[in-house]
Amino acid sequence: MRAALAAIALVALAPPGLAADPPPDLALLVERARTRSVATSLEWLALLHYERGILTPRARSRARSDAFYLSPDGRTHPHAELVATLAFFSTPPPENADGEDPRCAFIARFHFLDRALDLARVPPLACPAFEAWRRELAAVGVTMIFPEAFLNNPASMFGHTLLRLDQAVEQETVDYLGKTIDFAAQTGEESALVYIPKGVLGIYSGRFGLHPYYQQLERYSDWENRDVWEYRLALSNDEIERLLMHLWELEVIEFPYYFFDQNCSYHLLRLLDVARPDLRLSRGFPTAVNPIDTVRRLVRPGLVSEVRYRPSPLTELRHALRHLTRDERTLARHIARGRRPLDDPTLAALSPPRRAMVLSVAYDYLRYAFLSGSVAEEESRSLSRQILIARSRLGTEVGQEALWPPVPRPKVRPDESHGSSMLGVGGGFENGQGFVSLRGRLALHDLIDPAGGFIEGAKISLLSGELRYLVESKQVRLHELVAMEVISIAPRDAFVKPISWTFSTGLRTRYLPRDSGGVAPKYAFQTDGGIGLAHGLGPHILAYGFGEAILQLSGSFQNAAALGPGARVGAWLRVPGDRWRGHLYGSVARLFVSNDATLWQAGLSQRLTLQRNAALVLDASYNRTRGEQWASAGLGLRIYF
Amino acid sequence: MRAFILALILAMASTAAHAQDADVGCGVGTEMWKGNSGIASKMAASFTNQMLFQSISITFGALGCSDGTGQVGAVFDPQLRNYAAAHFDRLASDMAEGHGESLETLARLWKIEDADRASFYRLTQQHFAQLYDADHVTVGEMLANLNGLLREDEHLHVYARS
Repeated sequence: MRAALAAIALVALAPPGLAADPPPDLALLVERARTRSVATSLEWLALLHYERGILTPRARSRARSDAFYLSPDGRTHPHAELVATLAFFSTPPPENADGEDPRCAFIARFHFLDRALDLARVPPLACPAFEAWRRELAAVGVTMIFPEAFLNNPASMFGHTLLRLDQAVEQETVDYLGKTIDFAAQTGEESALVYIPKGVLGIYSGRFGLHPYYQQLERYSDWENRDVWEYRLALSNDEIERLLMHLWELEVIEFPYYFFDQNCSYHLLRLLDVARPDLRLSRGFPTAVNPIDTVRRLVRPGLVSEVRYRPSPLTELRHALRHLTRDERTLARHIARGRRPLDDPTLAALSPPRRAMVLSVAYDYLRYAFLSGSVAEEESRSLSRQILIARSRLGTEVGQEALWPPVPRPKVRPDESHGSSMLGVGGGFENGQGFVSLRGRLALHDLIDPAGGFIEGAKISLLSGELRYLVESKQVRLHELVAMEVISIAPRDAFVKPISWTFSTGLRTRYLPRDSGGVAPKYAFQTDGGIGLAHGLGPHILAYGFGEAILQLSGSFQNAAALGPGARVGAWLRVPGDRWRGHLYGSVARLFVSNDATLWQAGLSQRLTLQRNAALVLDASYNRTRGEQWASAGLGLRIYF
Repeated sequence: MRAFILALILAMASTAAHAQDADVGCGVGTEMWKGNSGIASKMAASFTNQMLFQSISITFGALGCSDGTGQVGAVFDPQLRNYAAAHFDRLASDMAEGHGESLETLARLWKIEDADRASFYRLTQQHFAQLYDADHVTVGEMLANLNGLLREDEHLHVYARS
């Protein structure tokens, strides 16, 4: 539409006799662009979101909206788009209904071309709406925001990223006042079964959005209790300006949303590409774009100037609890639950500082309970106020300082965690047979892997497999190929009582009945799910127990399916610094229908961290089914990348 | 294969999206300790990842909350008002404690000088019960109470807005 308008304007406004030729200034600009190779410059390609892919060796823009292009060939021809843009700028169509110069919709392009080609002879551009918006934003910096995973949903380990435009009040950046840029799919109110495949297949379109930072904190920090990491970027004022102008251009532009590769984090990197094209941040993601990997790209010298850790209310609460005695903790809990009044003698008997701490924790716990839905609004409202009034009254005695030290920042940041994919090599023996093993995993993290930068107790594994070379029989065999495995071991305490759960589905090797009697390793497609409880025993041991349901599909069963219940118990053993970790486990499964058998297993796994991206894993187990028993053990080296 | 896809989908149902709250909760009428609408969806959201989420398309022009109406609100600039509304809960606990990031930001927006911050924090803590004088106190009322307190303070009266 715009192109048609431009063409009409060109013809209508061109002096008679030159109706067929572009204005001489335009021809000059086009020629200048050609000699300076502007159409293939990194900046131009970044502004137009061009990309070369495996299936599209020619540069192709990702923007879906037609309004993005001034040339009918704009989607695939950067040069044609450049010429059309120059033409559009040279002879602008009349003002929009709201009095805005239509060229303001391409303000970033305008300023880029002005820098690259000198648009002095082109009608000057004034964009008051943009100026007002920019003034209101008052952006003095850009920070990449990464909410960490939250308890009980291992999938959230993939994380999410946002870009915050930092705002300052009197020269000092005030985080709370910033606005965040995000990229989100326009999914509507559809159910999970619909939008998950749609998201994977790129059926949705996504748009950039701008929301106050406090809103994001409300969602991620308050409601979901995720710790938030803020990576402040060292961008110059010019770079910030470019980013803002481009964001203005993208207000109504849609891009395809692909859950795995062109997701929120990817598109934010594309925005940063406009600010700093030479870094080419969004290039070279081989398969999927894992949000934490986009953060890793930024953590280079000179790009991230500062990292701030913002603990969630739950983290703060847990930290505060460690500074109370057991009796004080119970007292705080009872006050929050309304089981003890605020004039309780036990509370009054405490010294003012201890009393103040108990009241603070009681309030925090009440707020947490309210946010997680376990307490009603009216009930919590009055009690909240009373607790705070009581707390404030202690001010004359305890002052206005913090009563306990702040939450210590975790030693390992999320971007310093081990790489998202894994390759392992090793060997061992099983049932008397030696083997050499090759492992691989697409993503992301197992409970035995080095834990730094990840939340504890969460496993999510996508596409994990093991290939074995059996030494005696000289055979190569696929030992297992697990599509997905998720485990959430969340310890319960007096304050928070989550349910732990597991789920896995994939091809496994199981010892199944042989026609000639006994058992032999065979393939079974197994899906299992379990619910359980976990508890910390001291600071270093996490004990758990699960009840499971198991479904096995195998060619060797008469009815091709076996199912039944199972149980798993175990304990994870940790040391400070996480150099070593151990896992003691035992399980029993009783399968019915086709494969009538009980399978017992007990074992010990250990991991020794060698480096951030390398670890040794040793596993030994004893197995028993249908009267047969065997041992297996393996040692492997895992490399993460 | 079908089982695998189904399992994958079921597992990924835990990475579901949820509609973002259109209720930004701003304005002078905002109440204290008010849960947002759709607490059920928030509960559901607490089990989900936020990777796909619907963004109510807020045009870039509407950056803050819409201005509340009411004579109380007229005294304070929109930024201060909107900030206080958005951070109501945290401000309350910060004031009771006498310190905190929310309170510090409020002081900054109120243009309290560094040297007077300690007195400001002491004031809000000491008179907490007067600031939050009812269970259903609104942001506008709290700010008006705060303004009144400043006006009556011998040192901080310079900061009272008229």
